[in-house]
Amino acid sequence: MSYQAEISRASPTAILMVVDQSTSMSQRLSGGQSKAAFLADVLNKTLYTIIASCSKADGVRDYFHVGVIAYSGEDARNGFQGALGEEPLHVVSRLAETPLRVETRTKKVAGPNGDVAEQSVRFPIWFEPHSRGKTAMCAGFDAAIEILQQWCAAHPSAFPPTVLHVTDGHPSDGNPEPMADRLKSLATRDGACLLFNLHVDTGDGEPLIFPNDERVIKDRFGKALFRMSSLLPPHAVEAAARKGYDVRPGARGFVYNAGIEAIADFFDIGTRPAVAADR
Amino acid sequence: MPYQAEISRDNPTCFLFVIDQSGSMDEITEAGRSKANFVADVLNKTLYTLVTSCSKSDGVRNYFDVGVLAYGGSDVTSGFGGVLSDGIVHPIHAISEHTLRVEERKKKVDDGAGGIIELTTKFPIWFDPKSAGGTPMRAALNKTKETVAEWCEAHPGSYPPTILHVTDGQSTDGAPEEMAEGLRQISTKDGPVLLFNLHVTTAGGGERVFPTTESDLGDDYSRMLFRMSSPLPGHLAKFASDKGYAIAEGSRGFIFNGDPQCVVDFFEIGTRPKLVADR
Repeated sequence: MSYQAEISRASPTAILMVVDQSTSMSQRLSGGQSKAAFLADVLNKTLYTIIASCSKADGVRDYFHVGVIAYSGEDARNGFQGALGEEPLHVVSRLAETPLRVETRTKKVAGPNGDVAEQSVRFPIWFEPHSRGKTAMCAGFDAAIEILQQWCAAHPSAFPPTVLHVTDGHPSDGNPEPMADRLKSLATRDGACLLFNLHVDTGDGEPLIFPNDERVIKDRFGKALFRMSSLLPPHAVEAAARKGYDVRPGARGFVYNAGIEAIADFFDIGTRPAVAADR
Repeated sequence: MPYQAEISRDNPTCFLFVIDQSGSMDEITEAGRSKANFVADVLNKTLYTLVTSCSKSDGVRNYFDVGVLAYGGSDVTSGFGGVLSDGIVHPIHAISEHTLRVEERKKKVDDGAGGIIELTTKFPIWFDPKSAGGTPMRAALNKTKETVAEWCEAHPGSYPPTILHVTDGQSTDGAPEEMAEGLRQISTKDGPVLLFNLHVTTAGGGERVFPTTESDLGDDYSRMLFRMSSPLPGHLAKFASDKGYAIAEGSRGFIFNGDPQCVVDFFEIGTRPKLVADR
């Protein structure tokens, strides 16, 4: 059985986000923010949640190695800047110490009578939105393969890495499908790398969440993204079911035409490998 | 140059929605709702947007006369209920005052800090979905023709009426093409009536959006709907192209095999005349 390894400080896992920063990511979502800005918010919140889930009485435990690859124009690069920009993956405690800055955000919260109140919250930023240039998706996958090849060699018995890839368009630098296959062929003894794909849309169109049949997707590249996506492993099926999604046998880690809700849920579900050990 | 008339309280324009309520509209879309249901939501939202765009500090200004014709079984009737069911076309001010009811809908929005919050919003309903019986398209377009002819006679200097026709199937009461032709010959001094056709489907694939020639289309039925559709006037063509649609000289106001996103965009594009006067 794959995906059974305990995640612990001695045997951490890796989470790598691969983010499309092409020009089209500047289009506005129905909520008013650009796709790039909302995604950056969700990504920053996800990083914060990962840190929180590793925070114990004795400090932040390094259960995860986390990195962000951004691609646009002709190439891919580290999505972090500053001190974090020098290495592709970081232990969680290092992330916790090194946000770019901490913003004060006005957050809408539900009041007692179903009304909405506003609350000032501190919101750490690690990752900034950008959206410029073409969609160098193959370059993004190339970078991910290189990083995770090394990681898997160094952590042969760990829970395998999870890659969350976010895009809104068609690749401009070739066919990423063979590269996705290579990425998914990287493995530890506990199983193959997991690749989950999120396709973002601005519209009011209805998203397809964790489909199990590519025929429901019309777009040719949408079908390719489906094929590029790993089957949802049990922990993700469970997390999706808890959020109320009807996950059928053969469901892939793929969301098509995601609006804001599906984007937030995708990150939540995708970054939930069970931390079982040394609690 | 046609389609240049200023729209004002003295010279309103007219929107007429012609909605197929035949039995097949109860087919369920990918996202699990019936076509009839989805179209009704989009129509209600469009009516609300029209009301809002006429709302000024002194109240709702009558820039638009608006009507809904529903057809199914052997009937063509007003799609409005209550007092609005007398007569087909009503000034927007009367529409704003006579909703069937106001529902509370849950809507998920960006909470400002990378998350989602569910808000309750008011959703006014003017039009309820129905789906039963045959598809008397010919009768519906005949009724449309009468309604529009009368309106144009009373408003000879106005921006001409826009008809948004939504269907999912073939006419069951004879060929509708000559009715459409007759309809498109009606005009004001500012130009002929605009007839835009939207064909919706639950089967994925093969959508044709704002085509320029019949030869882009696969079968006789879609070709006929193409011929029944008016070319998009300049300002609407620009709006469609801003939304990311490929628009060329001669693009018609016609979508074949439209998915939910197409439905939303079709209504938005079709109800966007230039409001320039008495602001």
